[in-house]
Parts: sequence; structure tokens; C-alpha cells
Amino acid sequence: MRGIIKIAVLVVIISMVMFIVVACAPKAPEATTTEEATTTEEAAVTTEEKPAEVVTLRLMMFPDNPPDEEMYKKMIDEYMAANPNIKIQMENVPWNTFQEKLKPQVIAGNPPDIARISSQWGTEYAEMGELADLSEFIDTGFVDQFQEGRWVTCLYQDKPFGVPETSIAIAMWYNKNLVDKAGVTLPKSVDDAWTWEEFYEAAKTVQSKGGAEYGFAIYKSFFPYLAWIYSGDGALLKDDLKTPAINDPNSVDAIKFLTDMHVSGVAPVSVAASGDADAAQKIFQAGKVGFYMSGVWLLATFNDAIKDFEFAATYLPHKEGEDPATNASGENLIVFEKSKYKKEAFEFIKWFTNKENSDKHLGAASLLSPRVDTNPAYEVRPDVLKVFAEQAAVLKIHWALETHVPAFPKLIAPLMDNMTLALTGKLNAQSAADNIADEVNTVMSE
Amino acid sequence: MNFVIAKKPANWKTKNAYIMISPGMLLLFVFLVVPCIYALYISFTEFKSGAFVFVGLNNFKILLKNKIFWVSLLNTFYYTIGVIIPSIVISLFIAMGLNRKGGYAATLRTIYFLPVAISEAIAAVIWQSVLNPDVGIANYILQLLHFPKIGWYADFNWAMPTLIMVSLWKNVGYYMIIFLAGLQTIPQEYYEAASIDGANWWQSFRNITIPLLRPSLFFVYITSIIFSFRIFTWIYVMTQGGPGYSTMVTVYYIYREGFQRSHFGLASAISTILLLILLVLIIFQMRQFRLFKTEEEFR
Amino acid sequence: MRTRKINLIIIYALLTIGAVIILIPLIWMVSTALKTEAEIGAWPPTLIPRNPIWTNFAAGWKTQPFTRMLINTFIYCIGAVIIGGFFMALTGYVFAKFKFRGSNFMFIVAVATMMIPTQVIIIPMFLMMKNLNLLNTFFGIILPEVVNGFGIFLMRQFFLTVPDDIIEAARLDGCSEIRIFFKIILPVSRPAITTLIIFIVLYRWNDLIWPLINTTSNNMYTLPVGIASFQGVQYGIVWNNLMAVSTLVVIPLIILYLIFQKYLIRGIVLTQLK
Repeated sequence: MRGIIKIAVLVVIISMVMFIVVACAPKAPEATTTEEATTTEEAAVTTEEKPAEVVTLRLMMFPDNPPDEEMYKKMIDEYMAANPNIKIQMENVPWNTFQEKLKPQVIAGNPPDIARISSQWGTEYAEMGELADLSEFIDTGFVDQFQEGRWVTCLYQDKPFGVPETSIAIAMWYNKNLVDKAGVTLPKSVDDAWTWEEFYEAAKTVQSKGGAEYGFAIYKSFFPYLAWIYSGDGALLKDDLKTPAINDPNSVDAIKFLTDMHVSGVAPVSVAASGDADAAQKIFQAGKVGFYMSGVWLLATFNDAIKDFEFAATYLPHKEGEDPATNASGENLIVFEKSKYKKEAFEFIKWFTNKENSDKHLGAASLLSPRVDTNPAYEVRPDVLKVFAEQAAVLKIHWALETHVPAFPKLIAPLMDNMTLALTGKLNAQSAADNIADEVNTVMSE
Repeated sequence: MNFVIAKKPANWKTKNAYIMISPGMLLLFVFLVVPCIYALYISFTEFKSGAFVFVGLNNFKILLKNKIFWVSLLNTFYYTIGVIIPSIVISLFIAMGLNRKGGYAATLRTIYFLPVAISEAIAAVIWQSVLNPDVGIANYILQLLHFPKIGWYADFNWAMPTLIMVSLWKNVGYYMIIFLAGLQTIPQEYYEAASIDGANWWQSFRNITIPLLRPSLFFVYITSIIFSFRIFTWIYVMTQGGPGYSTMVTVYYIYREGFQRSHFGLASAISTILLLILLVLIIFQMRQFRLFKTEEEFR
Repeated sequence: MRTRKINLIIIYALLTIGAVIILIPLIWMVSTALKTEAEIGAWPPTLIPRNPIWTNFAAGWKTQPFTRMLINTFIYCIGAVIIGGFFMALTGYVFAKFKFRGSNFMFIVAVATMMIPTQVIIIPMFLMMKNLNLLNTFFGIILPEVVNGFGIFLMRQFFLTVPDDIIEAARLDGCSEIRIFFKIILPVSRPAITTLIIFIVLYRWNDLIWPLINTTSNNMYTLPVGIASFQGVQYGIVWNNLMAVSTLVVIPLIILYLIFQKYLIRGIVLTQLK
């Protein structure tokens, strides 16, 4: 008997120890993003008038590039120094695992206070009822500071849940050495942009005369794919934001043209078929691509990594007779409903995105601004950023709206699957578009 | 090897057994079995507008009509068979070849083990670069040797074989060690006796090595099935289920529907079906191996 | 198996070719770690870097709190080894040496759990962890799969080979079951335990999913999670940092393998003898 008692006691003790350790286990103790504790007492103006209640805000973010991360840390430290009763815990989560971390947290009722998200992710959480309604904190005139195309991505049923922080846009990077060697002339402004046919010719020339292996490559993502479709006056959804427009003639034409460019060898089929989203970027960096349609966020990377040739940016082509187009969205700072400090969260966001801080931040990080009065002092390649900013300005509200319907994350997979099948020539454009349309209908009726 | 329960003297105290086994089984139950039961429960719901709503058999009905789901089951089958057989055969032959003394053999053994020490995620990223159809070194070397470029994971026909290939690269060293251990239990005298009797290499292999390696073979077999689920990381990094749906396996489909599209109920339903299939297979395997038990002894 | 000299040469030649194929990605990994970003993306690719930057290892390590992550990873491994190792050994022992009602069934369940793909249980596990208040804690990351079918299976196979008589003798002497386990069984099973420990460490050191999902703050991250952040797709992978840190992270495991390879093989041998 003694043996059994001993065992039982052992088991109970172990369980109790585990339980106690569990109950008292440390959770997220670090308060600052830098290792040294900031104890500097600046006599700076505090925006908080309340007495010493310590407010802890959990901020989950992903950086666009290393300077972006630097600036985040700096500005958070600055804010905390100026507001001693506010502690901001910044968690840096890589972009490609961000939703994997955020969604379970939200579902389990444990979201952060603030999240810096890709704008597409927001409305889904809003539809779940998880995002705060910030209308009570917003003064009149606040909204006017931001471009409409960016502000609408922070609304759900006309109620704001966040503030636009950055803008990103798609334009056409190019390899100056190859393009010059081919003798191709580039458009001088957005309105001067090529038509599709002119661009096709230019890309072919860069291949034949410039010696590029591929005249053109497009970043494998819904972002530029939709931008291309917009440039042909196509769209994913119709104006009611429910019915598919992807299988309408304009959209299908756009897909067909893009397919032709791939199947003919001007653009790499291997990129369209690859599961590596960076495949096209790698080939561009290797100096084998003439024109690369991708986003402004690559600037910092290209600056570091491309030394063998000169790179620059120019404007996107569009279908003859149609308007120039782009796909522009950006990052938003959103506040969660379950946050205990919504007001403080919004105050921080307001400070973070005000003109002075925004210009400073985005200037250092080479990112575009969603503000109307934008004027960041770009340290790196202002010529490139100018092109992207001009391209972003042609954004039509419908494009911003349709990529931010709450169901949008669910539509990405069928869109990408079928675009891959179309671009590699395995499925004709109309059938691929019909497949996507079917999925749209299914998802919309859920 | 006796897979099921060995015979035991009948007078051992069973109460002790229950007590001693309870913490371990409890941990197993709570952290592995309960989530599965929970997943089963979720398969009868769907996640709509922030809450789990009961939908009965709806998810299963959707799956029945879902082409991608059936394709994923086929692909899983294709991959599993495609990886297990070479896994066992190749690592067995490597183990037999390196089952020698000497520094060179030891060095080779260590080299074959190196991929095991690297995490799947890093290995996948490395191979993704190496096998990049346009700028990767694999095709560069092929070009230098005047061979045509291969599409690797970006080619509809090559994608699955590529996945099998990289899985083999990653795991062969692991299985090799298990086989090495097994080979060392076979007394040299058996082989010597056999060769005196005039048996050639193949006969020795078939009648001595294979039967006495049965425990190792079984172990490697089970391990390779478990490892075949780790395919997820490779697919996540290199193909995302594509090109087309050629590498869409069920485990990845669960992730895509659940995490990327928030169809948690549907994803759980797929998981439930997958688990049922696995359960049936396990029971089937166990019957198979029980049959072989009596052929154990050779002499 | 007697092999003629020519056979030996052929065998070694094939194995050497195989080894070269195995090595190419690993050489690529280390060489990428030593390059500049520019050289990594350049064409044609170089297997040996032009100007190896040995300081990349230190530089890459400093870009994130990797030392903290290293400590975290150590803790998780040790925690998993102590908790998991102990309970899996105990459970395996009971399955091997005791006969009781339901033992068949329970063992089959344990083995069946080996086949559960992680994706299936991620969300329910996350919800459970949240309800148990274990999110972002050491236990929260160790406990999922801490006792798993693989370890139980391994230990059971080993304990089947331990002769019954020494256990019986101890029983007759009045030894309690738990003392038998500690004083007699464990000392005998050092190779098997070592094997188990190595398998646990191999899994936990490189495990990405549980630490990724169960943490909510950077200071609880493990090495794989930290490494994953070099892959933020938004601005592309910082290749040299990624490969530099990955190389460093592999070294402890290789050292572990070299030290314990003798134990490892001995351990597996003993689990097969019955």
C-alpha cells in the first residue's frame, strides 16, 4: 500500500506544482521595445491629462523594411517618454505569419489593442464585430487629412475602426541598363503612359535588343493582377460589391492579354506557376528582366541588393482608350473592440499619423503617405517615390472598396488559383474568370 | 518483434499500473486527443461573422461536391506512396553501404545526417532558392552540363516529384540511423554461414537481412508516414498547393480553408475525414504486421 | 556480407555522389550567409563568395534578440525533455511490463495520436491554451505534444527487452513500484533515454508552429520564430542574415549528434531486440 500512496502523492505534487507555475506564469513582461529602460523625464507636452493610471497598450505590427522598424521603435519610445503613464508593448511579427497569429488571438478573445495591418485584413475583423467604433474620438476635420481612397478602407458600415498609416502602390520598375540598350523610350507622366500594345512592343524590344531574358515580369499576387485588370476597365466585383465582374468582357480581355505576354515567352511562366511569391523579384535582381510590375515597398531592398545595374520606376500601361490604373492600398492602424483603452489607443494613433510624424516616419522608411498634405523628406531615391506617388493618385474609389469588402480574404485563393491556371495557359481566360465568379457568388452568399 | 502486447505474468498489481500511467496518458489525452474531439465538434459548425454557428452535416455535403478536396486526397496518396517507398529503400541501402568502420564512412554518415538537423522551414527556403527555375544553382549547373532547364516546383508535372525529392533529402539520414542500428543487431555469423552454403548477395539479403530487420523496417515505415505530414512546410514555402492543384494535399487544404479563408468548420470537417481515413489505415496496418509475427524466426 | 574490392569502390563512389548532392544546399546556405545582398541576387550565381564576410554571423545574430530566443529555446527543450521524457518513459514502462484492462486500447490510442497532423489541432489547441490561461507562457508552448505516441512507442519497445526477473526480484524484496522504476529501470535504460532525449530535442529545437501561435510577445519567441521574421514577404527576405543565423542555429544540434551518436545507435538497437 505504501508504494501506491507514494506514487499518488508524487502525482498530486507534480500536478500542483504545474498548476501553480501555470497560474503565476509570466505573460508578456517586457514593456519597452529597446532593452534600456527609458527613464528620461522630458518636460514635453503630454497629451494625457489624467493622473498616474498606467495604461498598457499592446501593439502588434509588421515592419515594411528595416528603417520602418527603426522608426517605429524610435517613435514609440518618444511617445512613451512624453506620456509617462502610457506603456506601449510592441510586438514585431513577420508579415507572412501575421494573420496566423492575429486571427487565433481575435477568435480566442485576446486581441492586441492596436494592430498595424495590411488594409485588406481589416474589414473581415470589423464584420466579426471585433473592431472598435472610433467615431466618438474623431473630431470634425480629422477625416479630411486623408485621401479618400485610403480613408474608405478604414470604414465598416460607415463607422471608422482605424486610421490609414501608409500607402503602397504598384508601378513599373525597370532595369535601366537593359532598357537604354534597347533604345526604348519611357512615358514621362501618368497620362503619357503606354497602351498595352505599346508596352508589349517595348517589352519585346528589351528582350531582343536589350538582351533581357524576359521583357516583363509581374509580381505574383492579387495586387498587381487586379491592377492589370483595372487598367483594362475590368474589376473583380461590380459596383454593388457583391456580383462578380471578373468574368465580364473587359476583365477577361485583361486576363487574356496578360496570358499572351506569358505564353509567348515575354513574361516568365515559371513565375506564374511558382509558389515563391518573390520569384519574379529574384530574376529582376539578377538583371534578367526588363520591366517588373510590383510595389513601392521594394525600394529599400533594391537599394541594398542591386549593384550590377541601375534600376528606376515608370508608369503602368493601360488598355487603349481606358484610364491609367493602379492598385493602391496600404497599411492601417486599427483598434480592437476588446481593448480597455480605446481612447488612449486612438490618441497614440492620431499622434503617430499626424503630419509631422508621418512625414518623418515615411521619409525615412521610403513609404508613401495616405495624407492629403503629404510631403515626406525622402532620403532614398525620391525620383522613384515620385513616380509611385503619381501612379497611386489615379486610384478610383471602387478599386479601394472592392479589395476591402469583408469577404475579400476569402476570395484571394480562388483568384490566385485561377489566374495561375490562366497565365500558364492551362485554362482559357473565360473559364478561369468564370471559376472565380462562381467562388465569388458562393462566398457572398455565405 | 511483437507489436501488440507481450505476455506478462498474471500476478502483477494492476492498480499500480493505472496510477503510474495516468499522468502520461492524461497529458496525452488532454493535449492530443481532446483537441481532436474538439475539431470533430467544430466540423458540425461554421465560423460566420465572428461566431461558430451549428450547420449540421453541411460541411460534409460541401466536401462531397468539392473537386479540390478529392484532388487533395489523391495527391496525398500520390505523395505518401511516392515518398515512403524510396525512403525505405534508399536509406536501407545507404545504411548497408555505410555500415562499416573507418573515418570516411563515419564522415559520410554525418553528412547524410546534416539535413535532419536543419529545420523544415529553413530547408524549404534554401531549396526554394536552389531550385528556382530561372536563377537557382540547380538549373545553372544543369545548364553548364548542357542539360535542359527543369521547372522543379514551378512545373505542373515536376512539382510533386520535387517535393518527394526534397523530403528524401531531409529525412534519409534519420532513417539511415535507424537501419544502421538494426543492421548491427544481425550477427555476422549468419552471413558467413549463408555464404558457406553458397548463397549469393541477393539471397543473403532476402533471407537474413530483411527478416531480421523487420523491427527497423516497421519503425521506419511508421516514422516516414508521420514525417509525410511535415510536407506542409515545404508546400507552404515552395508551391502553395500549385501549380494549379498539382501539389494540393489534404493537410495543406485544411490550412488554406481554415486559416486563409476562415472556413474553420469546413477545415475541421476535412480534418475529421482525414483522421478517419488514417484510423482505418492504422488498424489495417496493425493487422498486416500481426500476420508477419509468426514468420519471425529464421534458422 | 563479404564484398569484393570492386563492389566496395562502386558503393563508395555512389555514396560519395549522394553525399555531394546532400551537401550542395548546405554549402549554398553557408556561402549565402557570407555574401552581401548584392552578390546573393547577382547572376551568374557563385557557390563560393567572392569576399566572405565572416562578421555576417555576428551581425545577423544582433539584428534581433536572438540570445533571448536561444535561452527560450533551451528552456523549451529542457522542459519538454524533463516533463515529456519522464512521463513517456514511465508510460512506456507500464505498457511494456504491466497487464491490465484497457492497456491494449490505450496503447493503440497512443500510437494513433502519432498520426495526427498538426494543422488539425492548431485552432482547438489554441483555444484550449487561451482558456487555460497558458498563452505566451513556457508551459503553453511545452505542453502541446509533450507526451506523444512516438516516445511512448519507443520506450515501450525498449522496456520489453528488460528481463522480468530483476523486476520480480525487487518486488519480492518489498520494493515499491515507483522505486523499482527509479532505482532499477532507469539506470538500465540510459541508451534508450538518450535516444528519446535526442528525438525530443531534434523536434523542439526546430519547432515553429507551437511557439509561433502560442506567443504574443517578442520576448517569448524561440529561434525558429525569430528566423521566420527574416522572411517578411513585404520587403523580401534578408538572405544573408537568414542564412547566417540558420547556420548558427544548426551547430548545437550537430554537436549534440556527434557526441551522442554512439548512444543513439545503441539505444535504437536495444529497442529492437524483442
